[in-house]
Amino acid sequence: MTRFSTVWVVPPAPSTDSGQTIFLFNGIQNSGNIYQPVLQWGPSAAGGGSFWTVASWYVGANAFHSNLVRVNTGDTLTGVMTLASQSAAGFSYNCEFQGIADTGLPIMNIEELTWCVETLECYGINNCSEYPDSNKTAMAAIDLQTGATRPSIVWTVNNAVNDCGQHTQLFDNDVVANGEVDLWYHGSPFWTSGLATIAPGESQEWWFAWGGNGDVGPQLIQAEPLNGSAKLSTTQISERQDPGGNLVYFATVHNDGPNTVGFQWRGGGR
Amino acid sequence: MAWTAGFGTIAPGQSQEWWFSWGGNGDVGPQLIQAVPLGASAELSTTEISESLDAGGHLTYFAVVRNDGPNAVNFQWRGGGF
Repeated sequence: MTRFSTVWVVPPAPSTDSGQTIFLFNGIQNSGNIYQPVLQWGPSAAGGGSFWTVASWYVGANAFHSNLVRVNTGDTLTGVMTLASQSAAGFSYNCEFQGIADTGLPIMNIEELTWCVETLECYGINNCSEYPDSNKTAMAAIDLQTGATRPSIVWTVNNAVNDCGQHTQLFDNDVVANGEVDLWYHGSPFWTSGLATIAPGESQEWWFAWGGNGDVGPQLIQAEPLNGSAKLSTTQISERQDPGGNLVYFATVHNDGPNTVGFQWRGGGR
Repeated sequence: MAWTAGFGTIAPGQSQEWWFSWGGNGDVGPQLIQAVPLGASAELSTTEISESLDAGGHLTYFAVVRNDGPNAVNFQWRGGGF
């Protein structure tokens, strides 16, 4: 890894403040440490309180960090880690929030960093309202470089805590500086399904089935483009009952744009 | 949350495509969008709902209404998501 960056927006403050600590970061780990540009709400070993701050950290048996810098809800953050040099003594890196002074934390001659993460990490949360007051934070514009190459990224989801519906959505595996992993604080208000591509002018009919007799009531189903400069129309939504009495839903998407585009389905009912 | 938008007039047999945009990155999830006639003896069909993503990552919604009735009619859009 020579460069790993992610862009995200500082979310709204939690609606309930009970002294909890919330960390959001992209990071890279070796066998015993993690290097990370961290957005923080609440207190930590670096300080902080009931406000948003950023700092760069290198954490293992010991924790090293830059000074905390205050940021505000709605600020756009770019957390960047870069390989500075490598030698027989080890690997040296820089970590900072791009464009925010005093957030840099260079480290020298450590074991190579190889394991990338996009993480929501929280402490002292006892109520769902203690998460940021929004549905999710999109860890976006993910750009991972290994020299002149941008390798394919295969993320593994780890939903360690899900009592409030917290979950991770692998929104876009794009490797050209446009990847996105969504970290949800609550359950999604709608369902998502499928990841596919569709060519210009092409129509595709998909089917959607649920358990039992399949009847989940009327469903709004729409195709959402995942790459820029694209327009997808959902032209038809159908329900069909098979001879066994099971209801299956169908939807047809048409690519109205000039480019092949990745898409997913989103929908829901009442 | 339910919303209303726009006031338009559409002639018999005519189709119109409208766009709907929200703040931020524009993503308000899947949206039910329908045209409601504001005059009597009118039938409006919402024939297509689309989502468009521009190069800047902004999502815009589109809907097409077609006047299947015999008269020009005023209408507005109503919609909502989850």
